[in-house]
Amino acid sequence: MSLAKSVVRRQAVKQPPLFGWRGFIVYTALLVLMAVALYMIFIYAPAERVQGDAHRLLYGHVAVAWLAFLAFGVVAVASVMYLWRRNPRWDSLAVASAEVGVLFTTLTLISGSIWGRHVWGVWWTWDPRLTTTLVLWFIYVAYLALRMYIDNADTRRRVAAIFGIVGFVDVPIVWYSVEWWRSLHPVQSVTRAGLTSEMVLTLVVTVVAFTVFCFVLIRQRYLLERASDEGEGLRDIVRNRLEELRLTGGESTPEAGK
Amino acid sequence: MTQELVFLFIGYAVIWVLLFGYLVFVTGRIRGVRDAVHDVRQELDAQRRQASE
Amino acid sequence: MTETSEPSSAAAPEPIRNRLLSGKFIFVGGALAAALGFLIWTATQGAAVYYHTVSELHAKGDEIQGVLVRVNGIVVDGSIHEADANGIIRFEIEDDTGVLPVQFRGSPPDLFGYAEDDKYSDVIAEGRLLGTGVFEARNLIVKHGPEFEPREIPAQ
Repeated sequence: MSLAKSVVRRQAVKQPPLFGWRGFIVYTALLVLMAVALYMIFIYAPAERVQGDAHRLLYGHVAVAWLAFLAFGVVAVASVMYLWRRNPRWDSLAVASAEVGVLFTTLTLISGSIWGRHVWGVWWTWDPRLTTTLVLWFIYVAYLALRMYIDNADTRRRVAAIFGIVGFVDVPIVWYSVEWWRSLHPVQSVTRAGLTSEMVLTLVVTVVAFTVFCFVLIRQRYLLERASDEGEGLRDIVRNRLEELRLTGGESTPEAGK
Repeated sequence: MTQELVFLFIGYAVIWVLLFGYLVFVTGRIRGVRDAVHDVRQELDAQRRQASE
Repeated sequence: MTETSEPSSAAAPEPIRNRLLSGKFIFVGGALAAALGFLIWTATQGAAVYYHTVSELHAKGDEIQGVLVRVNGIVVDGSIHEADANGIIRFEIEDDTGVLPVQFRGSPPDLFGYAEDDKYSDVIAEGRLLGTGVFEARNLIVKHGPEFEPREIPAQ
């Protein structure tokens, strides 16, 4: 491509995808937080009585699981806001959070599986917590798949919003599954866990670091969705124009009446 | 390296590789989609100008 | 347009609304729904609970013999026998009122053992109750609570 053309392209970008000085601050903060979290997870936190170093998976596993819940919470809130306000930006936020939530749920399942293989002795078991979490993953994968198959933007956003609200029902089920039913997975309880202050601090810093990462991911995915929406709007303009041409073109298109 | 350390490193490696990979992928896609939208817009403007002349 | 009707109608935008009912959507949606249904079915079928306690297993009597179940109990102190010539380890698990002898062929999870050795003694055995009253486990799963404590550094 010519230099002139690429200059034109640069000018067209309205919201930079987190570059510039704001991006510099955010990404620096993210890297520093991640580095501190890494140090605390691997060196600062003491070895656990039974699990030794393997318990260090706790910090990342709890953080990504918690952020999956948070992301799906954002999906539900954004879906409600979309149905209320009918502003497509809320829909973009919902789809961005849903995709990030699926990513974090995937990470929860993988890190849990690896940890479980070492401590429990199995990669997977049909325990209530694990099963409901896998169902959660399927619900939001289905949410994303459903969006791809409804071409009319308004219909898609409305159907997705309803799905996004109803799908959230599984989040409290996952959370309380360890208390409602007998399970292998331990209950989540910081108070009963007997964590030392070093362990609690490590968990807090790790959760904060992953939360910043989660928000950066949602924002980037949101900007991508806004750009895609703009493209979809243009596509519809072109389609309508083509349709006009086809209709005014008259007898050359015998199927125009259908 | 003991088995528990292997599990520990693989666990965190998977988490960070997928997170950073997704970040790079999405950020790269934003530029691509915006460029494409921009091109279509320019094309449409050019055609509109041509039609009005 | 100078072209014939054939290409011009092919180039026209297709009615996308109908895609919701297209085969691809039904296939993908159906596959997802089936997968979800299968998961819920596997999770809840047969036993209404993930595991039984030792007492519950005993209370079921002979009807439970040969049925694939999970049973949970605490390893009885000093009951673990190292693998014999056939590679089978034997131990007993107990709850408040019952004791159950278990045999397992294979290597148990690393953290399986006695609490006093800083291991987890809470265990779920997956397998079948034999006519002899011994539980034949084909899978051994270590269970533990939410307790996480720092390792004591032994005083010199």
